[in-house]
Amino acid sequence: MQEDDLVSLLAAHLRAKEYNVLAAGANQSAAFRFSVADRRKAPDLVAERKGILIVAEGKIRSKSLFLKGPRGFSDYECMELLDACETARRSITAEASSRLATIGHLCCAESLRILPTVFAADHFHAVASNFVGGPVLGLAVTERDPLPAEIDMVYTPAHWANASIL
Amino acid sequence: MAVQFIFYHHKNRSLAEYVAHHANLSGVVPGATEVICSLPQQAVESGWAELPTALRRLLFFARPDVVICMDDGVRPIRPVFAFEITEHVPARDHWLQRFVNLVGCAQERVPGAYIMPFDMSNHASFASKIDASFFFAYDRVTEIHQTPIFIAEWETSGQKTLKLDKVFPNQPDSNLDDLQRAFAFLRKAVASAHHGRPVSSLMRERQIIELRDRIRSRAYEAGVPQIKHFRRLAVAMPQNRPLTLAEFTGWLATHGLHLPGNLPDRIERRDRFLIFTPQADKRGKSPATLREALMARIDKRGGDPYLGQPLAFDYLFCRLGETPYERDVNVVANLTDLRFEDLAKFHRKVWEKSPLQHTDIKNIKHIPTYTMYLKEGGVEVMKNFLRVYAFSSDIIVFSDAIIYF
Repeated sequence: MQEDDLVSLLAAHLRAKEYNVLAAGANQSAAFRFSVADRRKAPDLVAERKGILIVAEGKIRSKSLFLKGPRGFSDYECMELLDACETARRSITAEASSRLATIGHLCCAESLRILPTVFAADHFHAVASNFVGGPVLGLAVTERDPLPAEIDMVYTPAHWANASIL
Repeated sequence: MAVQFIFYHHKNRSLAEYVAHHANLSGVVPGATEVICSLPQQAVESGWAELPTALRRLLFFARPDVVICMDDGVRPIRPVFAFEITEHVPARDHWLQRFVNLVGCAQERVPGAYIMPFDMSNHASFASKIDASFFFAYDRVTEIHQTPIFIAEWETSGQKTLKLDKVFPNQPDSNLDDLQRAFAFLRKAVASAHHGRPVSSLMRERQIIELRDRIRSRAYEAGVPQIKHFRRLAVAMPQNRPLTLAEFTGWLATHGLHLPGNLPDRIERRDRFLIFTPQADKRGKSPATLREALMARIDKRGGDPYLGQPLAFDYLFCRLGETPYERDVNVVANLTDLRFEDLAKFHRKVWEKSPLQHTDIKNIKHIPTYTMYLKEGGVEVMKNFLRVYAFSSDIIVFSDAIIYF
């Protein structure tokens, strides 16, 4: 499996759960691009349902989510920074709002709540402790035959614990 | 045997799913099945050598987002259509770097569709309107290879927001007029391939003629492109025309170089030289800075934005026939910011990894890769910048050497 296949599995799952998948692809270079700490980043997947906007980065192996890339941040750190940066969040919700409008789902940008998310194709055993106390949702995406894939929430941020996410 | 369509995608599975969903190919070939596969990320991966040969040839210049191959169980698996998609309007002359993405298809006589917004002049961060030269260049490609390439407009609301699909909201609305045309074109091309008709026969179909008319009406909006419109050409050709042989010899002398005495007749007889200079703006930059900048582009960014530019200028100003030998103007890549050894280090890497260095079968790790090298050499695993420039150019000029083809 390659990273894009993983993104596609999660996108298909979210679609089945009535999410509007607004961006999906490891190679989608600029959609929903945001700037944090002078670095630009485009998430692998963006999906909306009932005002919850999942903004996600994925890797095949969960430990890769915590490796610093050439720009000095890991995918996980980028999601943490996104959660803390109002400007970046605003640019994403504005883009999401206008895209949703084109498919007939009218909602104002202010009503969208971003849920920063990371996902991988394993069970996060070695890295699960990194999430504790943080703002980032962790999803393990396991391919099943026949599809759909199985999605396991390995970590849900405290203030999202009671939300209906998946 | 039932026909199978294989949707190969390059890091864009979502587009492959979208195309498979909307194309309805089982309506064209009853009973056909579909499968989606990922292309190997790198040409050096073992899976590369196992791809259908015609598909590997199509990927010579670049990898389209989706290539649809047909397996009828009788003929070799072969590509029948390709899709390229972008959410952004290429700003200014940035279309030059996107240009190569479907040229490999046309060269292999595989029709394709390029989907992109044409006008996003009200977009907050990427405001732009497409340059008519893009359409002109693709019209030349279609004409030369007798293979239709359609450029479909991804419409926007208010030149700002892309119109999205209801089933796949990260893809273009499949009900848009041009998307409907693109899918109808895909079905026509697939039906034609299934019945064994040559692609050139499509050029006489009314549906394709109308698609070409749409491209042409945009291509000639701003008149025919000229050398003076492109700074990377005008810098060495200020008179808005290719240099003569005498002028080219003089230009080389300004760089302390001499024309080799044993140039192929083909090059000398043309007596016209189009010089492409990737880094045209050298103001305030030292030779060391320019060399470092260009090497960083080649090494870390796949040669962008310069990768496809010589090929685009070839089609705009030089090319007459299907191969680079069929030109009436020589294409000269001015790489005088680099030394010969700078680019040579990339083919040295290919040489060091080549299975052809081994004489003991135990050292051959992957037979398909070995046999690919035997039949085709290392060209497909060559650094893309070197591969495309070698293909496109008649002459490459370094600061310390001249090579010719």
